[in-house]
Amino acid sequence: MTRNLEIEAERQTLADEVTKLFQAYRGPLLRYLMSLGVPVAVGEEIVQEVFLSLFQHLQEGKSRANLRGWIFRVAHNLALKERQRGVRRPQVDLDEQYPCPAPDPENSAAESQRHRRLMAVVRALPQQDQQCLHLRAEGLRYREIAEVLGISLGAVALALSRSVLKATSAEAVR
Amino acid sequence: MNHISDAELMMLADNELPEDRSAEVRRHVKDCWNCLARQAELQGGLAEFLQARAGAFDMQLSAIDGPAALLRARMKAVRPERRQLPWNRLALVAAVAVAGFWWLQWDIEHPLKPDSRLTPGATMAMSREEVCAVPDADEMRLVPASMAGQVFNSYGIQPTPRIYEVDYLIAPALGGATDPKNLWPQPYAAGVWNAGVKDALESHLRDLVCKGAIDLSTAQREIATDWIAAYRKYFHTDKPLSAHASFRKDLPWE
Repeated sequence: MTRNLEIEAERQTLADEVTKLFQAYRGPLLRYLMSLGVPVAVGEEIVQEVFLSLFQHLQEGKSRANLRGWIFRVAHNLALKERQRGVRRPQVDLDEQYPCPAPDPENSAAESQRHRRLMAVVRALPQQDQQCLHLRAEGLRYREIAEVLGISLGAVALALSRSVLKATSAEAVR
Repeated sequence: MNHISDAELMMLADNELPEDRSAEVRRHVKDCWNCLARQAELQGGLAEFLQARAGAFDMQLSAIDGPAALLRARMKAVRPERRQLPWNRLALVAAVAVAGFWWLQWDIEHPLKPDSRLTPGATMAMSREEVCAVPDADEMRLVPASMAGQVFNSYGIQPTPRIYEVDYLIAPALGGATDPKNLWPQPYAAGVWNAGVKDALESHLRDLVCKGAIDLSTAQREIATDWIAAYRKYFHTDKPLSAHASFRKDLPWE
């Protein structure tokens, strides 16, 4: 009986921990998933799946090293699977997916137009370069990005420098 | 000193260089106008991207309370026993496969059904709610190597790569247990009634169970008794649907 209570308390602690992580990373994960072209509603479902897997992962006493990297990697892989499955779903129009930024009195119209153009340039970049940029934007360290995408640290640095320069120089030309 | 690449300047800006290299690069950049300009361009460009991106995504996020509550409910539904399931400690035997010569003589129209004495089917004690609360994940292929060996042994098969998969009779997504009593060697090339077709049936049954159209125990019993008969019954067809021949459960993602 005491043992059962202990197990229940342990589960509760884990559930609390996972909920905290969910609160911290749901937004970043959803933004990253949207950047991969996943519709918001499907993204929410993927994020649920990620944290349910995390709960089980921790319950099974598996590695706690770099949970943020783990979370993003699982989300990334689920999104790719979702995309493979996507033949059954209408493709998401990325222009709709990235709506125009809301009018902001502090942002001039010219600035939001520049931002839209920049995002359009980013969307035209190679897939992996885009993923590096979006993961970097969510605050992941290069080592974590490399782990999520299964590429080397050098490849991450190269992709980031290349795509930042491409995006901003293309923007300046217009 | 050698030219500093854009990639290294980017790493410097992001504080990603190892300490000794970082000091070296900093020293160089201090006296290199060209490097300074490129570094500024990289930093400015990244900042601009971050700003543009924030504007594009933030407005779409809804309140977190609903999704957080849903997650808590789902975690509650995960049974504690799950932690004792053997696939914790498994080597990932993604579709353990084997061969023998005799399979070549296999009548390809003939389905391999599990031997009901060796593989009667075994389930975990899970309710419908519990089965449906856990996403239909890919633990399908996570059979410990030692257990797979045991299964081949009991069927008297000499394992050789890529001919068989060790399949669950009752899929984990339907509450099936990782237990030799619930595992059997299924040939990939078993003609029309192959592993892909069975996977399609499992998905369909799970949908029916989670929609409440049939009982979990009924689904488990029917798939364990004669999965081909169950397929015919639930898909209203004598032969496997062509789309199902190549139906594949996704590969494990971890």
